[in-house]
Amino acid sequence: MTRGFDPRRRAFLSGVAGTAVSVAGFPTSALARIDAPHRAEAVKPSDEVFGFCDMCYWRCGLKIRVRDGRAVKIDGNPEHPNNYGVVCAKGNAGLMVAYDPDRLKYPMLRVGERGEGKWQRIGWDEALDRVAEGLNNIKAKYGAHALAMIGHGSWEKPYHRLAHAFGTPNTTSPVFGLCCGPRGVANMMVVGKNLTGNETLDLENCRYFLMLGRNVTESLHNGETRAWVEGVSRGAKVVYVDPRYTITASKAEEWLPIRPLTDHALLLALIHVVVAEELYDREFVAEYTTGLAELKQRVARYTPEWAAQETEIPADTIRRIAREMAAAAPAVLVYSPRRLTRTTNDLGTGMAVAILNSLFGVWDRTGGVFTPQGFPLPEVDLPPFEHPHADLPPELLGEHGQALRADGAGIPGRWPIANADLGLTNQMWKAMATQEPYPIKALLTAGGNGFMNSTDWQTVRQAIDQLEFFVAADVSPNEMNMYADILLPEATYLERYDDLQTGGARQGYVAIRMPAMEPLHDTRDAWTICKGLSERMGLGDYFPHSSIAELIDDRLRKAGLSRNELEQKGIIKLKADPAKNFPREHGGRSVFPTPSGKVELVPSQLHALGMEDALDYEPQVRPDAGEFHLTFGRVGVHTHARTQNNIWLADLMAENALWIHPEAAVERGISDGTTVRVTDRQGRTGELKAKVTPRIRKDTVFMAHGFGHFDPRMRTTNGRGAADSNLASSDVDRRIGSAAMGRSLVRVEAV
Amino acid sequence: MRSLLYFLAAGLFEQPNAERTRRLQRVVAMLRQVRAEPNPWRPLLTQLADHLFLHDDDLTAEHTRLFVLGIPRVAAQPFGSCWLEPERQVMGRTTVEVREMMAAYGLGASGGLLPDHIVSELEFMAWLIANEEIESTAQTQQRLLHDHLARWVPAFTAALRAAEPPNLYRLAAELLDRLIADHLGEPAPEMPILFPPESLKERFE
Repeated sequence: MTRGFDPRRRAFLSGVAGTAVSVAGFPTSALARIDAPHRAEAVKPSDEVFGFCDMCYWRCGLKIRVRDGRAVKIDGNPEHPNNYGVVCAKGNAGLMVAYDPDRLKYPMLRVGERGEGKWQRIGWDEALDRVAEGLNNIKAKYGAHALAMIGHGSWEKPYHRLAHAFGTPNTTSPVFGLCCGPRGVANMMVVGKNLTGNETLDLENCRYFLMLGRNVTESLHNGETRAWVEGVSRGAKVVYVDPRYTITASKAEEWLPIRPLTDHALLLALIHVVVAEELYDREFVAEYTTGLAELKQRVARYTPEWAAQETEIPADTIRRIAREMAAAAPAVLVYSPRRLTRTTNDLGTGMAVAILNSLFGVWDRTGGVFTPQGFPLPEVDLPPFEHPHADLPPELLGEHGQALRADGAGIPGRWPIANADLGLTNQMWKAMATQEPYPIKALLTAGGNGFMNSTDWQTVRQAIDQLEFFVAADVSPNEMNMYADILLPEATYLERYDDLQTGGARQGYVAIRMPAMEPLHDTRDAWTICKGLSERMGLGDYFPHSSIAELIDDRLRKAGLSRNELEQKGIIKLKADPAKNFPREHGGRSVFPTPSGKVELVPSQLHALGMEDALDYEPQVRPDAGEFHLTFGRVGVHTHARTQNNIWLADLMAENALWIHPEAAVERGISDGTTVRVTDRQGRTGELKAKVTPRIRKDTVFMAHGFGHFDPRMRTTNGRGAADSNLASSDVDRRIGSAAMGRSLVRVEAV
Repeated sequence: MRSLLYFLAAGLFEQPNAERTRRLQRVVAMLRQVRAEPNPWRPLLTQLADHLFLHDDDLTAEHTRLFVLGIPRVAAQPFGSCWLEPERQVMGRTTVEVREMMAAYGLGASGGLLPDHIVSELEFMAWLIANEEIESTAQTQQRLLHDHLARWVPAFTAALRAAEPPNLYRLAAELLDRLIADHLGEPAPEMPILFPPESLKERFE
């Protein structure tokens, strides 16, 4: 057996505690005796350790092979329900994040102009002292609420805790306002369940998938893709709805090239048919739902003929699909887009998905949506957060005099139905840029890249310009952290413990992330960084453990478990119990934690908020002659804007291309490979090569998300392709406040 | 003297600070007093002494630009594996080889530096030369010289010069090149830069 990272040999890499040796009486700086005690937690001397992936947001379980103190191969943990042993290209390429010579290695202090890229290495003590002092100065000058914290990654949790302990409400993560938020809100309103993250869909047993741009083979999550393929191989019918013929479309029986931004019209017409022809699950609807009569009234006008005009999907097809799905129900799924931040009424689209699924009675049924088992694992005991009284106008204060969120999430009169824990990152950038409703003067980021995962570079630039203090914690350099005043280098997910992963799948589980090797260079994990900051800011009570490992031990102890036990297989699962997943298959009842305790086909919260019109169709933008809808999405080998500089993944796909239909291309003198300029109505542009293909509608162009990086330090990807993030629309969902990125219209010309 | 010269070279590539500068000033002073006549290093040592300033804020930023976090790129990656291995990443076979050489003597790299970091390798060489009475250090010296330093340092110093560094680093590059040539007994062979980091992008063209 090869030996992995042995704590007794810890000093051989960074060995901070190693005893210096001398040359001619002078102590060495790098060379040290290696039999010195080490600073961090011991890791079992094994040839494999377990973890969960940080390369995308599905969080597959990992088994990491270690040799000579290096992580050398990443495999899947066969026990983990998110992937059952499978790892994708992105997961494999995690090693190249850790071993990237350009990653952030040491704490850095900006010494030039902001964004100039002139830095000075400083020690951790000095870095943490400076950050603590800088944040406390902001608090003294403007109040705690003048700090915004934006996190994006599996390790952002300690930063949220630190920011709340500091006293600001302004913590946010792009997952809500720029991604899945509207879907979660819609599901909560209709069925009282969020159903985002790792969705609990019984894909293997589903017999009919209506997939709304849900490109599961390219917007790839291992467990989901595997289960979906299994379902298809068992004979499930797939109807794939997308302006683009994706790889997923190629596995479908039918591809419906819908007109962009009209999914809601299709859904309303399907609901119309199901209700009008009484194709719904009568027993379920009678027992478990409210609002059918009102729903029927509302959808009366949305006939398939009407929808055909909007969607360009024939009315007969819509009717046939409704009937086919009803015949296959309850083993059917209207498969929502994962990112539902496209139109001004994503709430309506999301609700229509939930309503249609409910009419088919899919909840807790084989082939439908199952109820997950959670894992009972208490959080650590912490003092309550005390957001201090803020010196702001009364309309910006909560009942205890504390500042309300600057992004308006969860606030009556602003974006009351947006999630106030995750916040609206798109609105936070605007708040920072405009300094409205109150000044935000400090920013703490934990991963992420506001330029590449938001919708407007100008807004992000303006926001950064307004800051008096910007601290970025991250693994790799990028466009956003280039502007930081202090850079805190994070260890990668292969080099650290993190807080536990608990999940609700068929079996509830708790999984651990173990370090496969010690942190390279002089990097630290998020928890250790935040603990150091908290102590310097007098907030140590919020980080009471001596280390992240002790925090893990504490949580596990409360559940009667131990770290040693968990590290055997990397995961502990509850016993499988199909009766809990599918109660209605086992004589049990479904539970819907809505205000009425039932599925609300017309959600009571809409009435309470006066938002009933979200159930109605809102026409979206249409291109003028010569314009296109701009669409963007994921590919199987990259995640968001964070993997393009990874050399293994760049080897698979180094730049994006603009998909354009051959007829539209010919009109513009564009051939396959021609460099084209894409220009939106604001005059923003991007240049990339054309991919001329009949696999896309004539009125639509597409580019893969995450390319077009402009940070020269990202040597592999800098200048390659174009950035959808600077062409996407900055419109918002009128009720949620989340981004409506799909509303961008562009012109295309050969360069 | 060679041991101390390697030690000096290592120190020149360390993160600059006052303590380091004081140490290097003492090392240079010691080296200048070596009585070997002629002392071929003396002119270079004199120039180095003239450029070892206690307070030089620009130098720290330059050190970062050249070796740690530069715009548009790190000018001269200080890791052997970045020059000797096709993927040009850290923690490669090169790193492990140097680590194992160090471990044979109960040594390792510390201070946030990897074993094949230029500072680690040079300090290790200094230690090996200073401890020639210890079994096998002579052989290890030759391995470290021929399999590692002589193979990538010329490329490293060439990249460093191309980045128009401050005089101190220009002198450090000269010292390093001469030191290795002297150690080899001949000028370092004209070696192509095996895998220059700058060419990485071309892989994907």
